[in-house]
Amino acid sequence: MTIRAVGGSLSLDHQLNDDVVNRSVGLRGLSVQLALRGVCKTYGPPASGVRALVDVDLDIQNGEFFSLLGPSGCGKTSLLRILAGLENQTAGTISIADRVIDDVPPFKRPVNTVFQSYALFPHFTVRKNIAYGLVSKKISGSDLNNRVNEMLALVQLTDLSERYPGQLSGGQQQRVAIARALAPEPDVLLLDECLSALDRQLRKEMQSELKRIQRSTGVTFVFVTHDQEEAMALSDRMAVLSEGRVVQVGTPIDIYNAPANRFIAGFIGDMNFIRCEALGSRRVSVAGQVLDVEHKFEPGASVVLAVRPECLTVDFDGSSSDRMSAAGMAGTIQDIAFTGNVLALSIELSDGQHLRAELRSRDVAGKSIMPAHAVRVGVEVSDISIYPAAAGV
Amino acid sequence: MGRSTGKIYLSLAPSVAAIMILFCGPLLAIVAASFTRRAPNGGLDWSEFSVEGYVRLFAEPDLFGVLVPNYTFLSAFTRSLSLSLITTAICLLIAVPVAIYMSQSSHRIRNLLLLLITIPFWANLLARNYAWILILRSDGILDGIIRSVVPEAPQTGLLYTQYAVLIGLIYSFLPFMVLPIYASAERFDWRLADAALDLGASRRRVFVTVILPLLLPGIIAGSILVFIPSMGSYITPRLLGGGRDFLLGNLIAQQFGSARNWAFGASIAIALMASILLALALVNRLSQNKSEREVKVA
Repeated sequence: MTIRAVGGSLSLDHQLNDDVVNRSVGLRGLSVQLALRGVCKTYGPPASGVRALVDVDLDIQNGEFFSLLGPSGCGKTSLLRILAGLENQTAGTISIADRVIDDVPPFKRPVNTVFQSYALFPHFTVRKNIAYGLVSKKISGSDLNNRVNEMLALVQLTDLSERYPGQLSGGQQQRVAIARALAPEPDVLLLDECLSALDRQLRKEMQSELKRIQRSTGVTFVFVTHDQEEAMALSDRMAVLSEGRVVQVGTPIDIYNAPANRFIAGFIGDMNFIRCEALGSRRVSVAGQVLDVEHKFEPGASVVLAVRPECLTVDFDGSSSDRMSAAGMAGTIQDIAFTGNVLALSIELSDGQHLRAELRSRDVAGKSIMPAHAVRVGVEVSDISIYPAAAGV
Repeated sequence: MGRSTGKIYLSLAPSVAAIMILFCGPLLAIVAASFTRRAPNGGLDWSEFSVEGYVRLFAEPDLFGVLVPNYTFLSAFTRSLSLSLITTAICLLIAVPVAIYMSQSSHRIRNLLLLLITIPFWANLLARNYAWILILRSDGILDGIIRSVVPEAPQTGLLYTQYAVLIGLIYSFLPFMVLPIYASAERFDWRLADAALDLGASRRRVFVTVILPLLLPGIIAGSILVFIPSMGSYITPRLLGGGRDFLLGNLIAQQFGSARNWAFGASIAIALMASILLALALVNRLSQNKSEREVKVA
């Protein structure tokens, strides 16, 4: 497998490669924890109602950090509520550890939820909030106290145990919600967009915090988010949902490198879509460059070529080129954005289409880069995905 | 800045004056009257300070001027208290589910229910009580309905009993219970109930440990709004109870009316107010203690 991470250097490639191998080996030894078969959810009358989920099949492994990723309205929160038992699926079967739980009420499922709004009990202290699920399991006395203290230590809130939720910051409330949901030792922890209310800095902190908690408890996490960066950073594997369907399941790297369709290509990471004409069954032409690609299609068909901004090479001086791709696509620099490690260029191709290219700052150090400069944009055939052209692009 | 503050006070003056005169004035007059003595021909004898009115709450002089116990006030007080407590409790039992249902309903049903609940406010209090007389009296509407189902049924004979008074009071005061609880229920975040269910709590436990405590402000406000006017209710017991069992309101009205003992009437009114204030202070104290205890419990 070829891995091309953001600004991927050779060493980074290897590191990621190993990580993927480790993960998949690790997962292979584990059993399926949560299995969904043909899960459908329709709101309103069966025939004409809104179809929130359509035939969802998923296998989530034991101890996995699994994300459900999709734009708002894709059905991911419905799916989470169905897993929690707060709503019932219209059709299909859900089982946890080979036990079908379709008719199990929410309070008897081995599943706990961290809600988007946290839903902490405002009239209970942090300690009583965390103890709530344990009391349900008839745990009392020193067992209860020990477990609550353990949870408080896990989320680093021991000092605030006697506070009320109203006296805590957003990040602290978030930790209480996690501790409360983990305290009854659920088989699966569901997290519903629970980082979206935090500011950027805190969200980054909580991401690594979540990851740490998941690793140290070994509980299966099912994390719902619309933030693809967050899902990629956290997940062992993820499922991309669109309009109630699971479109692709895989590791973040698999999905990033080989998006199953154009929707995912645009949704996960930045992607340039370039409209072009098919010259032959394996040959396209774009902005003056002819590319021989691996895909096969009807000659004369209109297709869309997708390529990541970091996979583009930019030749600032068209005359001195030592690369095969130097012929490249002819274009003009329109805009330059320097963000530290990355230099992002917005380029207008000779046929009027726009591209975004991201170059590592150190690779272009010392070069004079100015708007309105003519450049040639190079691309490796192996970095290209090709999709049928849709209306609009 | 000093000048503008002065202007603000000046512009507030009329409303402050109106409150002082219209609210505090009559109250002070009653307090003052309660410390006077009955004039020989009725009315008030302002000439000296007297606690006679308060003594009469528990005892009265016999023909020889010796104080003997008098249970008129105490029995009226006990009867009013138990009736008000029962009224409050039944209103609570009806209002909590209604308020929760309303807060969960669609906008249209919610408005319709709000309208239905506030309709009694629009009708005259006397007219409402006479309507209940029509319903509850012997061979009245209620008896008619029962007979249409069970022809041999005896008369209910509810009118002029304390049950009739209870029905009348519940009917009059139910909106005062429903509306504050509804206000609390509408603000209630139902995701908390989801969270409790998710954490393994049975529906019963969700209700007792999460829903009820968070409706408590509305429940307390509603209970106060029902309990206090019930304690002083006058027209309903008079019309539906037939004036057989004396309640505090009737006793006060009698002292200001036919008995022409304003000093005693004022004393009863003040005693009623004092006991209510005491009860409120107690409720306040208890709810504070409760939240303090919650902090300590593990």
